Amino acid sequence: MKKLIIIMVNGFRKIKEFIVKVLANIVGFIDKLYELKVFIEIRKFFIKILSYIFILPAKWFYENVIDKTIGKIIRNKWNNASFANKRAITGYLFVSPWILGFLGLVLYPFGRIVYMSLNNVSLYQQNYTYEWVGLRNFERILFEDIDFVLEVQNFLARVVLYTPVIIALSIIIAMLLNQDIKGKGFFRMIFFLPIIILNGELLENMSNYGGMDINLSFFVIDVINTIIPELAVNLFIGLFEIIVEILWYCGVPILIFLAMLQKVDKSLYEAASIDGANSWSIFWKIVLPAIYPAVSVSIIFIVVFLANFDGNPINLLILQSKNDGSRRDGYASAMALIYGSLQIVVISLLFLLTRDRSNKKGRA
Amino acid sequence: MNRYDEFKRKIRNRIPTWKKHLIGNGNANGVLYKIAIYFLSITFAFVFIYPIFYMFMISLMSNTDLVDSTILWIPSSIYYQNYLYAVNGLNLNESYFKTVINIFLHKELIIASPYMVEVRKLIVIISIIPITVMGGGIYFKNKGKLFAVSSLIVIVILVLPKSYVDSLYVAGTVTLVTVFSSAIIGYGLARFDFKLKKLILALMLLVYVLPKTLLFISRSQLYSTLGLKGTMFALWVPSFMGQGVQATFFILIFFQFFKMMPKQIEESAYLDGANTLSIFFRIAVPMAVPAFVIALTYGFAVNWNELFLTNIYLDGNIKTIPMLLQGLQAAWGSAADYSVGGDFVNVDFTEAKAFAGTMLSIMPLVIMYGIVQRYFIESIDKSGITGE
Repeated sequence: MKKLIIIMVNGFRKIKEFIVKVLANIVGFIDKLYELKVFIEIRKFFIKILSYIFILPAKWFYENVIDKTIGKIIRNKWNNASFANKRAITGYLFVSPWILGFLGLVLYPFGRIVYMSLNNVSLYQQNYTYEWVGLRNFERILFEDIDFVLEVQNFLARVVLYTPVIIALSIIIAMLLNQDIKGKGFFRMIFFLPIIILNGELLENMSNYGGMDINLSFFVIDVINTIIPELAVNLFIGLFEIIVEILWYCGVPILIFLAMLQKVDKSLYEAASIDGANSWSIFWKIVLPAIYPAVSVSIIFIVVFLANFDGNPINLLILQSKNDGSRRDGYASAMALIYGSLQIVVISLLFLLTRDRSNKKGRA
Repeated sequence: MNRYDEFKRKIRNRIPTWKKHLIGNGNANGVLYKIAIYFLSITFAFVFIYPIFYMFMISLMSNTDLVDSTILWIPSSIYYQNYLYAVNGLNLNESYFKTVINIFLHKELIIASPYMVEVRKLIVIISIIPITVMGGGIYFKNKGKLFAVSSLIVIVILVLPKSYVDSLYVAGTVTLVTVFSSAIIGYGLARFDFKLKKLILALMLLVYVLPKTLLFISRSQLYSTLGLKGTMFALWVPSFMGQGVQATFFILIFFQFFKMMPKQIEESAYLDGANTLSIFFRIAVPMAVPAFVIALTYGFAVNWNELFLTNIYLDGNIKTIPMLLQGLQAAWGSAADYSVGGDFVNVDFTEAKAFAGTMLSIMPLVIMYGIVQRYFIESIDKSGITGE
C-alpha cells in the first residue's frame, strides 16, 4: 500500500515536472523567437507602416490646425494658471469620466424616468408614444395592484430580519478568522468562496431543489420538542432553513470587519489583559468600539446587495411589467421610482441609526 | 489517612496548572478556548461548504437514485451522464476554435450571434498580445516573456469551449474597463484638491445606493437611440464612466488606497520632471497592487454572475453562462440524448441535471479563485477596505 502511494506520488510529480518543462520550453521558444533579428525587423516595419497611415496625418493635423487655434488659447491659459489651479484642473480631468457618466447616464435617464412615470408609454414599431396620465401610474401601483406592495413588504421584512443577523455573524466569523489558529488560510479560503460564486441562478436552483437548508434529523427535533415549546423550536428550525443563504451573504461584510480588526493595535489587548480584563470585556470595551464604524458601511453594502441581487423578486417584477401589455414602460418606471426612493429612505434610516456618534460628542 | 492527605495535597497543588491549561491565563489561551475556536470555525466552514458538497453529490446521482429514499448522500453508482447532457445544454461541447474557422471560411454558419459581434470578439481576444506587451512594458523589462505568456493565454482561449469564451469576454473586458476607470477616478479624487470634490463623493454614494432597476428602462432607450444596444459597447461605455456594476465600491477602495500614498514621493517625482500621467502609471499603480487584485477578482466574479443587465443590454447577441443556465430546463429537450435504449427515466430534467449545470457554471470561477486566492487574501491583509 505504502509503495503504491509512493509510486503514485512520484508519478504525479513526474507528470507535473514534465508539464512545467514543456511550458517552460514553449515560453522560452517564443521568447527567443521574439528576440530574433528578423522578428525585430518585421516589427519595426509594421510600426513604420502604422505610423505612415495613422500617426503622421494625425500629427500634421494637430500641428497645423489644432495647435494654432484652440491649442494656443489653452496653452496660454495653462501657462498663466497658478499651481493650485493646475492641480485642480488635472483633478477634474481625472474625474471627468465619472462626471460625464453622472450627467449622461444618471441625471438624464433619471429625468426621463420621472417623465415616463407620469405618462402611459406605448411602443409601436420602434416609436414611443407618450400619453399624459399624471399620477395615475402611482395610484395603480400603490392602491389597485397588489403584487408590488406585497413584494416590497417582503423585501423590507427581509432587510430588517437579515441585516442584524448578517452583521452579528460576520463579526463573529471575522473574530474567528483573526485568531491565531492552524489552517487559517484554509478557513479564509472557504469563508470568502461565496463572494466569488454567489449568483442569483445558483441560489434559485438551490432553493428550488434543496441544498440551501440543512436537514435536522426528525429524531433530534422530536427530542427537542418534548423539552421546549414547539413555537420556539419552529423558529429555530426556520433559522436553519435560511442559515446558508444568510451566511453566503456575509462574504464582503466579513472582509470589511476583518480589515478593521487587523488595524487594531495589538498592544491594546496586552495592556487590557495586564489590567485584569478578560476576553469578554476586551471584546466589549476594545474590539467592538474599534470596528463599530464598519457596521454602517456593511449595512449599506448589505442592503444595496440585497436590493440589486438577481434573485430579488422586485427586479423581476419591474422587468416583467415593462414587457406586460397592460403596464408597459411608464408603469414600470413609476415602480422603479418608488422602489428607488424607498431604498434611499431605508438606507438613510439604517445609516442614521447605526452611525458612529462618538466623534460628535467629543471624547472628554 | 496520611497517604490520603498527601494525595489530596498533591491534587490541590495541581489545580492551578490544570486550570491554566484548561482556561488559560493572561499570556496564553487554554485548551477549552482553543477547542471552542476550532469547533466554531469548523462548524461555520461546514455550513459554508455544505451546499456545494450537496450539489456535487446530487449531481452525480441518476434519477432513480434521487427517488430512492434510502440514498441520501452517496449515489449507488456514479451517473456522469448528467454532466455530459449539461455540457450540451450549456453549449460547452463546441470549441471556440471552430467559430474562429467559421469567421474566416463559412460566414453563413454563424447564426447564434451577428457576424460583426463575433469578429469584434476575435479582434479583442487577439489584441490581448499587443496590449500586454505595450502596457506591461511599463512595469516589466522582459518584453519577450510578456509576448510569450500573452500568446499562450490567447492559444488557451482559442481551445476553450465557446460559451466559456463568451462569458470570459463579457466578464473580463467589462471588469478591466471598470477597474481601469475606477483607478483613474479614485486617483483623481484622492490626490487632487478641487471645489466639487465633496459634492462628487456625496453624489457617488447616492448613485451607489440607487438600485440598478431604477435607470435601466431609460438607459436602454438611450442605448438603442445611440445604436449601442445589442453590442458590448452598451456594457463598456457605462463601465468606463464609472457606472458599472459595483463601480462605486471599487472607486472608494482605490480612493482609500491612493490617499495613503505619501505626498513626498509624488512631489519628488514631479520635481524630477515626471508629468501627472507618468506619476499615475509608474508610481501610483505599482503601489496599489493589492487594491487592483481585490477589484479585479471581485469585479470579475460580479460581472461573470451578472444576469439582469447582460440580458437586457446584449439582446441575446452574446450568450453568457448564467443566461444559458437560466434556460437550461427549456433547452433540455435538445441537449439530452433520448435515444439511449429505453432509459428515459434517467434522462429527464431533474435537480441532478440542474446541479450538474450549476457546477459547470461555477467551475471557471472556482478555478480562478484557487489560483488567485492567496494573493486575494494577502491583499485583504494589506489594504484597509473601509470607505467612510
